[in-house]
Amino acid sequence: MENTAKRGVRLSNIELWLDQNLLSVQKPGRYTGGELNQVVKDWADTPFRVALAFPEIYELGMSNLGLAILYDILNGQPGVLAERVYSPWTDMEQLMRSARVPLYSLETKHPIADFDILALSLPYESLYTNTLNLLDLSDIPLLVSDRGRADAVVIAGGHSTYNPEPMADFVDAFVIGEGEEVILEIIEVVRAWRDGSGDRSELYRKLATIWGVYAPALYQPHFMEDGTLDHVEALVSEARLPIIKRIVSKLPAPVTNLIVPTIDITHNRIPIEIMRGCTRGCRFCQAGMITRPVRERTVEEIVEALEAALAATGFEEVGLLSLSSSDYDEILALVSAVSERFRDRRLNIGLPSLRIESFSVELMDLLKDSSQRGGFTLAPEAATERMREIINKPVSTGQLLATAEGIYQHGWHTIKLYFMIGHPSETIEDVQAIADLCKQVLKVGRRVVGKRARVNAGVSTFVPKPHTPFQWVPCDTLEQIEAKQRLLQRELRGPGLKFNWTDPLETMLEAWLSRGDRRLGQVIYHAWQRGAKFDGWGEHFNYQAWMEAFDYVGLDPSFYTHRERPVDETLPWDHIDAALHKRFLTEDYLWSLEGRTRVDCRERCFACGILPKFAELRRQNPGEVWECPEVKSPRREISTIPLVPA
Amino acid sequence: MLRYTRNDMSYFRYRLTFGKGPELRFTGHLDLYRAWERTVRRAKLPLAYSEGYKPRPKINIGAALPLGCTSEADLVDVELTTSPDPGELVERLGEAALPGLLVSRAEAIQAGSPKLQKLITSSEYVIPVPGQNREDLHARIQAMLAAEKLLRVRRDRKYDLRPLIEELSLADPMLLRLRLTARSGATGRPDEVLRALELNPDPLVPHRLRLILRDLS
Repeated sequence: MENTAKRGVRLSNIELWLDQNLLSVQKPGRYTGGELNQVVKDWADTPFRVALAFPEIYELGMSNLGLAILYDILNGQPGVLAERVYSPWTDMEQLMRSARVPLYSLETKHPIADFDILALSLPYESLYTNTLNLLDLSDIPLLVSDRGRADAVVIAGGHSTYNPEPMADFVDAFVIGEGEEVILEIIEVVRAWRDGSGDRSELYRKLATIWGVYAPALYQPHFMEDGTLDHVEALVSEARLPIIKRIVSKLPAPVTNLIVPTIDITHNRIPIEIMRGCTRGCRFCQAGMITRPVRERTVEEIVEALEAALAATGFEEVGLLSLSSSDYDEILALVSAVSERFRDRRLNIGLPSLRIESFSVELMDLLKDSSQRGGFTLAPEAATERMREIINKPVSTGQLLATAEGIYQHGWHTIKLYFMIGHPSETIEDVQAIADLCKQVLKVGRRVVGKRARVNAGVSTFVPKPHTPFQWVPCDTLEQIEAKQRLLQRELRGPGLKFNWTDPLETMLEAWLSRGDRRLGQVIYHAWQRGAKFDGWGEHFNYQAWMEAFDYVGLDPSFYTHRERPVDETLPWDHIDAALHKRFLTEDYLWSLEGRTRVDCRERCFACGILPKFAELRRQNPGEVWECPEVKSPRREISTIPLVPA
Repeated sequence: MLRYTRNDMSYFRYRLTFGKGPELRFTGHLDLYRAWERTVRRAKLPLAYSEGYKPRPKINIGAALPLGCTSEADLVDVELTTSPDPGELVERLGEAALPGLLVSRAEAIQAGSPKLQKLITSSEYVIPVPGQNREDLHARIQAMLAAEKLLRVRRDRKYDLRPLIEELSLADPMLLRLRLTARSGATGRPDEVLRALELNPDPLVPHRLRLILRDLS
C-alpha cells in the first residue's frame, strides 16, 4: 500500500516540510494536528487505517458532528485507527502542489493514499468539487473505474448522498443513512478483501450485501430519449434494488472525548444531539423526511454526557442539537436540569430550532444566565398563512407576533427571522409579505423596547430536495429569484432592519446537483477541471466554469432545476429507499397544492413508511425510544439476512 | 492571605510560568487565551470572570509570543475565586494542560500589584541557524549592531528596528542569541531581526528563553 514514491516528498519528510513552510500560509494551525484529545495510534502496529475527511477547511470540518462520532467509534476499535483530513485552503494547496507534497493526515502525517479507506462526509452539494480536489491532492484516481487493488476505498455518507447519483463516478460505496453501525461492517468487508486477492468488483459485490450500502459501479442507469430516467439496472445478483437506508435503532451515547481545537473554528462548542428526526413534516425539509424515525436521548444521558464532555474538553459552550428542540418530549425537564446543574460554571447553552410559541420564550428565559444574549431566532420560513400551509409549517401570524412580543418583553432586542423565497406557487405578494411581516415585528419591538429593537431577516432560496413532498416541483429561475431579492432589498432597509440573502448563482448550483442524475458526474468533473472548488465560498464560486462544463458535456442545467417533474417520472434517486412510501410523498405534495396541512405525526401516524419497513426494529425497541406508534401486527418470518428489512 | 475583593467576591491572583512547545507554535495569542481558559476549566479551578454584558475570564498573558516561536518561560496571570496552594495549582494545571502547554511554576501575587505588561521590559531568544556561513553572518551582525538606524516596514508602517535590539550575538553551534525590548509600543520581533540579517525566517524556530521584568525593589 505504500505509494508515497509517486510524489517528491517522502512520508518522513512531510512533517519537516510543514515545519519549514507553515509560517508562509494563512492560519497555519489548520494544518498541524496535535490538539487535545486527538487519538494517535501506532501506525505500524495498527493493521487497518481509515482517513476521515471533510472536503472543506479545518474550521468547518472540525465542526462536523458526524465525523466526530465516527472518529470516536473507529478509534475505540482495537486494530483500527482513524485520522482526520480536511481541504487545504487555496494558499496551502498551491504550496503543496508546487512542492509536490501529498495530502496527509493530521494525526501522523501519513499520505491519504496510504490509508485503506477514505471516508467522506458530504452533508451538502457544494462540497462535490472539493471532493474531487481532495482525491486529486491525495493521489487517489478520481474515477472509480480507474482504481485498482492498491488504491484506498472511497466511502461517502451524509445527507446529500441520499441522491448519490451525481457523485457515483467518484465514490466506491455510499452509506445511505446513519453510519454508527455500518462503518464497522464495511471495515470487516474491506479488510477481508484487502487481505485476499479479488479485484475491485468483488469488493463491491461484498459491500453491496451490507444493509445501507450502495456500490454504484454495480448499477447502470438507463435514460430515455427525452433525458429522463428509464430505469436503474442491477448488474450483478448481489446488487439489491432498492437500497434501503440504514438506521440505528437506539442512539448510542454522545461523544464526550471531543477534540479541542487550538484555533477558532465555526462551532467551537460541545455538540450534543438530544434527538434525531422530526415529527413536524415540513414539506421543504429534507432532513425532516430522511432522518425518521424520531429517537430521543434521555435527560439523564444528556446531562451525564455534558458533564463528561466538560471535564474532557473545558469548552465554555454547548449546543443541545436537534431539528426541533421544542418537540423533545422532556424539553422543560432538560432545560431545567441543565441550567440548574451548570449555572455556576459559566457555560453558554445553545438551544436552536425552537418553535414559534410563547413556550419557547419561557425555555430561553430559563437559560438566561447561561446563554449569550444575542438575537432570538424564529424561522417562520414563509410570511403568509397561505404559504405556511403549503409548506406545512402552519403558524398563525397572530401567534408569531405574540411570540415576538414576548421575546422583546423578556429582554431580547434583536429577533432574527428566517424565511425562504421560491416556495411552490409563491407570488410576488407572498414575497412582499416577508417585508411587511418583518416591519410588523419591528413595530412590536419598538413598542416594547423602543429604538433598540432590531429585526434581522435572513432570506434563503428554496431548493427542492430528493425524498421530500416537493421533489417534483420546479426551482425558481435566476430572473425570478433576482426580482424577489430586489423587492426585499428595496423594502427591508432603514433603521432597525437588516436583510441577508443567498447568492442566486450558488442556489442554482445546489439546485442542479441536489436533483441530478449520474450524467452530472461529468459536469462536476469538467467544472473542477476548469477550476471550480470551494463553491460555497462566494468569492470562489466560479459560475462560468460550471456553465462551460454543462456546455462541454452537452447537458442543459435547466432540465434539472426548472422543469416540473410529473409524479410518475422515474427519479434518479428512486432506487434509494429512505423508507418513505412514494405514495406518502405524492399525497403530501397533492395536499400542499390544496393548502391542506398535516399535524405533528405524534398526534396521528400518516404511515410515511418507516414502520412497515422497520417493524422488526421497532418491535425490538418498544416504548419511548421511538416516537412512532408501537407495532402490533404479528411477527413476520425473519428474512435470511437479519435486520435487513425485507 | 493575598486577597482582595470586588463586588463582595474574593479574587486570588496567581502568576504562572509556562512554556509553549512545538505543538502550539502555530496557535496565536488570542487562541492561547482560549486554550488557557479551557485548561483552567478542565482543572476544575474556579476562574474569575469580569462583570458586565460579556464576562471575560480574568486571564492576562504577559507578552505575546510571535507565531512560529516556542518558549519555556512565558508568564500569565490568572485570577481564581479560591486560593489553592501554588504547588497544587501547578500540578492540577499540568494535568489538565493541552499538548504543548507546559506549566512549571505558580506564585501568589499581591493585591494591586502592577499588571505584567507594566513589568516586562525585554525578552530573550535563541535561534538555531544551521547551515549558515559563520564569518558572513558574524559580519552582518556586527554591521547591524554598528548601524544607528534600521528602518523597516511592517504592516505598511515604517519603524526603526535598531533601538529594539538590546543584544545580539552568535554562539556555538550556530545559535543566535537575541534580546529584544518588550514594552508596550516597543516590542521587537525575532523574525524582523532575521529578515534584517538577510535570513529567511519561515523555516527557523526562535525559542524564547525568558522574559525580563523590571526590578521593583
